[in-house]
Amino acid sequence: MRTMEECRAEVFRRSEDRIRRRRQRRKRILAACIPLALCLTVLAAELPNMSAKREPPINETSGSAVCRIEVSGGSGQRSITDGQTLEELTEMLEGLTMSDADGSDYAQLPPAVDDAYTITMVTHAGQAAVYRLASDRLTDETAGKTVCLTEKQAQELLALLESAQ
Amino acid sequence: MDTGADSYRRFLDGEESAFEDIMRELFHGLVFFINGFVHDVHAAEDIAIDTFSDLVVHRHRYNFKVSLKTYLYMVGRSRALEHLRRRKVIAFTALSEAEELAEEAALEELVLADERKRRVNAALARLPEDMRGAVQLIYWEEMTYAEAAKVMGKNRKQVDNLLYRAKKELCVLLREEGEPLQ
Repeated sequence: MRTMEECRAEVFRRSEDRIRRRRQRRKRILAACIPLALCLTVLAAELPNMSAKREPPINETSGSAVCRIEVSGGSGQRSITDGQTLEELTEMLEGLTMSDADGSDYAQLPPAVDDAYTITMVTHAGQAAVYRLASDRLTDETAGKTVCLTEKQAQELLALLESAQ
Repeated sequence: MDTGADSYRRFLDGEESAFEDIMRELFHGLVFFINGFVHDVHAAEDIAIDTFSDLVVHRHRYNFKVSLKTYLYMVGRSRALEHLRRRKVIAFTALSEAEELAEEAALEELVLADERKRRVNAALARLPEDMRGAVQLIYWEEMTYAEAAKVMGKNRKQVDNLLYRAKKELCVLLREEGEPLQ
């Protein structure tokens, strides 16, 4: 058996050893937790950006967005699906039938007899808006509105309809 | 007055020598008590050292609600039982029987200066662990029933019953050896 002094020394030696091991264990846990916390912080900051990127553009999934324009007349019948062309045509047709600038006339005129072009805009939801272009008259069949186009407006619209594939 | 608790307070305040007072007062009694469980003096000494080490490492676990002696004996008993559980799994090589007996006798002499107590202790060794523990704590260590109950993890009534049965058994054993129990 040990003497009292030896026992006392052993008590303090073991105590220091245990305290040192406890400190090392805490340091190891901290060393593991800090990178984990950093990763979580970065992930939390980046997650909204990542989900925003993943969301498709509105005009591709929105029910009211135009997905197809059917054109009949002129060089024949064709279906336009190119995104940029769809956007340009939609903007032009809606702008012409709504705008009162550049001398467009909002008088309720009867539709022209000779239909040069029939333009049907079809949305993702399956809805259709029909326009008729005859020389300088553009008729929104859906709204029941006819406008007179200027020569320039008519030429721009014709050029877009003819060049579109 | 709990001199152990006072010494521990002084130790917590920075007086290192106060810890020596605690060890001088309580160490051998604790080893003797633990030996009652593990029946190995060296293991009992190791466990007692670890128990005292707890006082140094976990300085705020002892809340002064019980006497320091009671607290140390509680921790010591718990560690002794843990040692017994581990010993069932891990094989070990014991010292020679003669060496062990000599060590145990030396410990007994330290704790039980009274020759009569040593004879009673020899009879105690034949009693079940719980009864032996109760007698040691109440009569050797002079704990109260409440303190002994806390150490053993029992209630006061159970300790009372253990003592009653232990005394009955001891009477029989000591009468056989010609040593009446008073």
